[in-house]
Amino acid sequence: MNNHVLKVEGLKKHFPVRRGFFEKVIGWVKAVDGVDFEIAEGKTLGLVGESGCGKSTVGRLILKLLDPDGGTIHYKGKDISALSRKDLKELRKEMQIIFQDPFGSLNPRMTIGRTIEEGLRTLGIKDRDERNTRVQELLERVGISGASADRYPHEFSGGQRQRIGIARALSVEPHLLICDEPVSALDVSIQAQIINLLKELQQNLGLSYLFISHDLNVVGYLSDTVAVMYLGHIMEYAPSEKLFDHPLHPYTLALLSSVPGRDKPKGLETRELRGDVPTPFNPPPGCKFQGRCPLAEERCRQGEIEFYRVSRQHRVRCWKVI
Amino acid sequence: MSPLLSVQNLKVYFRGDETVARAIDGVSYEVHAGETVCLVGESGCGKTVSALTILGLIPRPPGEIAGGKIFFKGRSILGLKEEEFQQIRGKRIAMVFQEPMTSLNPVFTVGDQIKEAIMVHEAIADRQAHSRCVGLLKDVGIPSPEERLRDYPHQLSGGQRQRVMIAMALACNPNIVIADEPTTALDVTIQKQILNLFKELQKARDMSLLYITHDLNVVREIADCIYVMYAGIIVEQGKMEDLFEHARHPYTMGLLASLPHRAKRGRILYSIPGTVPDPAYKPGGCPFHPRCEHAAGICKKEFPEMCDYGDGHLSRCPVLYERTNTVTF
Amino acid sequence: MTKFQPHSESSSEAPPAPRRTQGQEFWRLFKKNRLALAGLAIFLIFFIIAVAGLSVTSGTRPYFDPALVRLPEKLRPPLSRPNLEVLIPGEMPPLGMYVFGTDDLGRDVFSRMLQGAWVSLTVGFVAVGIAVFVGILLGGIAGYYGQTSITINHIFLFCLMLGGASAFAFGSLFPGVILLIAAIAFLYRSARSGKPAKPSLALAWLQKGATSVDTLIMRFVDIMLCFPSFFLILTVVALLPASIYNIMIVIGLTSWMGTTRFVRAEFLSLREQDFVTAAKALGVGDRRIIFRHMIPNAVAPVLVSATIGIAGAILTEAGLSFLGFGVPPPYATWGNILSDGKRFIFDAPWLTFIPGFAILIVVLSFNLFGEGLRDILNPKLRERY
Repeated sequence: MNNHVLKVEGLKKHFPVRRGFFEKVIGWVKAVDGVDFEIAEGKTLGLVGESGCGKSTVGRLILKLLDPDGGTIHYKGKDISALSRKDLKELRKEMQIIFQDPFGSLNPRMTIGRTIEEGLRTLGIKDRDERNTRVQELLERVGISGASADRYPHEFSGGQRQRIGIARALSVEPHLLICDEPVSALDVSIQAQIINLLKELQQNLGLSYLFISHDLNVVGYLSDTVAVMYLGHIMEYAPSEKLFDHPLHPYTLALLSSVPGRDKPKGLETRELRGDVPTPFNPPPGCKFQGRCPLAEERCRQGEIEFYRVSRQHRVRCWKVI
Repeated sequence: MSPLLSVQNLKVYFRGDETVARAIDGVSYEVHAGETVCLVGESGCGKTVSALTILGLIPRPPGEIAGGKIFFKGRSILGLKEEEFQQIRGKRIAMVFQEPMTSLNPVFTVGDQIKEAIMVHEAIADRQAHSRCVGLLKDVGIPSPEERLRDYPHQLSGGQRQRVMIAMALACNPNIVIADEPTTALDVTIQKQILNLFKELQKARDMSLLYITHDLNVVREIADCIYVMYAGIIVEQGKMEDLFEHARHPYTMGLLASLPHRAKRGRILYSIPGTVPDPAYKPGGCPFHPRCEHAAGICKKEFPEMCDYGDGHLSRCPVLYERTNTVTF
Repeated sequence: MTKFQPHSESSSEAPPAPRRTQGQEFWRLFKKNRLALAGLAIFLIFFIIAVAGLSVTSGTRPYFDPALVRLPEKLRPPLSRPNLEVLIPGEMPPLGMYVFGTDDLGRDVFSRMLQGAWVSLTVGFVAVGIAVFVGILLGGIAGYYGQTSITINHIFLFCLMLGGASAFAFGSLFPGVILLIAAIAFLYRSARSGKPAKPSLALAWLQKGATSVDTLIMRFVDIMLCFPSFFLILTVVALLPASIYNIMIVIGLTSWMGTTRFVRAEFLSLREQDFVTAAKALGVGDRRIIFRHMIPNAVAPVLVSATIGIAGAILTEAGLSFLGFGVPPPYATWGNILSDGKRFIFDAPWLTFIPGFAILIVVLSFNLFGEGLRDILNPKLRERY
């Protein structure tokens, strides 16, 4: 079984918190604290979690926009955690990112054509005319008229900008797309258009997605596998059907029962989760979910909780439910 | 029974240099006592403007109320003087905003701000106000309220801040609370808590709730009655069950069909083509016709009338009304 | 029912909003701001007068000669006719009258004002140009590379180079060469070695971060801001030979701090923007990111502060000239016309009021124009359309 595009093991990123004139480190924010998952060729992994759980940081770590503090990232079997600058340039053509905010993700002082062209430069296309035709193709590909390449971002609506962002990501012909909440800022009717576009691109170009979102409905619709993240840890990792139909971890359960709408998974009493999401700054030892967990007891407060394997593809970080 | 709040054919325009943005273009709705009414629509459809108009919070200029009436307890409140409005705003009709980060003043304690909300409207002693505050915080489910009253907003989490906002809204026992996307900025688990809180409070205090949101799933959780807005008009209205089971307007149908859900996996999601029109450049006739798959020639020319499907279910689509026997969704 | 809709947004859009380029949009907002428009108009008039003034007052035989002394005609009021009996033909004022009167040496104030206009304009622009250049450079470095730490390594190297350079400067060649060679060798070594897997204790100490680039630059800004700048300028001007260029440079080098702060703040926020992250993810180089993505988005507030800075520089130059520290005598500037006139404020008030009024109007116009720009470039205002 070695058809995964990306395999992440024990990924860690701790940000120092500094204070004072000499910028002394007074503590650490463990944004990502040991994350494991893999993404299969042409499939979608949904990474779900509440704000501040570190899901966006995971995306940036994989793209090597941030340097991990621990763990390994294998892309197509090759370790990319420690790459030289030149190899990094090659990697840029393999994976790309789409952002949440359609307004901040495009340079307001550049025409959309120029924005997309930047990727083509990376690809090493020297000929100007060829670049221009490619820009037109990419725009048409995502459903924007090629003639609007000389327009500025403010002339487009949110949904159109999101399409332009996708075209930019596609410009280097990547295999893996990291979608960081790509539809969260969009209206319902536009959201469906973008989701369809992503699906269609996946089918036609064989793309793999890491789909980061807080919206369980979208993740449930798009993902093949789902990883539930809480305070830097993956709490549960399972194929989509399994996770939604037979969730194990108390956090997953709470999350699923919190989703508004009427159809809850069977056997799931509506349970409201007490308390707020704690900050990832200097967390207590033991399970990260202990403070809000209805099942928490003494053992949860001691030592690291293991990432148990329930079945071949189902893993859960809770000793009580296995 | 006459409604507690009734908005009739309200029109609110915003004047630009060369253009007039018709943010609300003839909107009517009613809120009865003890009822939860949801205004649903996408961004720019005028749902927030309509709420702000009820509270007299539209900046004029550039805004202008171009027509219509608003009645609260049978009394017209549109032409009221500022002082008279003060008596209603905050006391009889209160509001909860979307952004819990910016709606509290960062330099005052939570207690000061709730106390102010009470003392603006009621002449009571400081001591009494304080105990009222404690009671309010307890009602909205904040643990150890005495200590929290001394906290500044930044010491509270997003969910707690939203609870404080709700406590402030409840300070004078209002008849109606208008909640403008109160859970949009919150995480799902916190959203659930706040929605449950609204339901409990409403039951305990017998108040009405005018809930404004873009999220149809949230609507399904709490609404009794729904008004679907598009481009400044109401396109469909009805009881919650009715509307979700038998949507009659192509826009509502499209919205419902385009909701992603894991049950729809593997199928292509229905999507409404095109984008929401700019309020300054709305298409003539039915504003939805350029995006509508049922659009007929008449839709481009004539502004559609409301068609009655019975039991308070109205839809602004005569084309489908005529075909009503054949359309099943 | 659930038929797949091809993404055809543009086709189904009803009457679209009219398309405006950013330039047109800027103009539209600008035209609404009457005061800014007035400021711009005055600025343009001032610019034309100054350029024209340069051409008619310079050269060996200028048309308007600001240095021509006509002792019998001293302190004539504005608009007075020249006394033809005492003047030789070459001394006739070119317009047939003394438009702004004459000063205590009988020099034509109108000609002197024309010459002064050019001085004010160049001082304003060059000084602010220097300030903006330094500001963008330092602010950009602090904002973009701010988190890079300066190691003890770097400090050591800097000391070596500084020592070598100063040894050279003071004439001792041999120690200078030794120190510079040591510096180069050190640089070469650290470039070669990269990061050793397990550094020795001494090396590890050298690699230790002492402070960050950002801290260094911003604390330097704070120090510069501690000096009352006008007195700093007075001190420097007292040490340097008086010349118009020194004045420009000194004013420029004492007024870059505001721009640095602006640019740093802009860079810090731009660095977190998604489009910059996207460019990095696409493999766009640092240089291109800075020059194509960040600077174009950071210039707006700089432009505003530069415009207002020009007004400040003109005022400072006038102040210096008034105190006698400014541009040296043969040159007329508005400041020294004012200074000369103060002795005759009751006998010849026009000598004080004319340059004073000119300074007031020009400074006011720059300030109004700058504030108008700020209103227009304010993203909150622009978002509405």
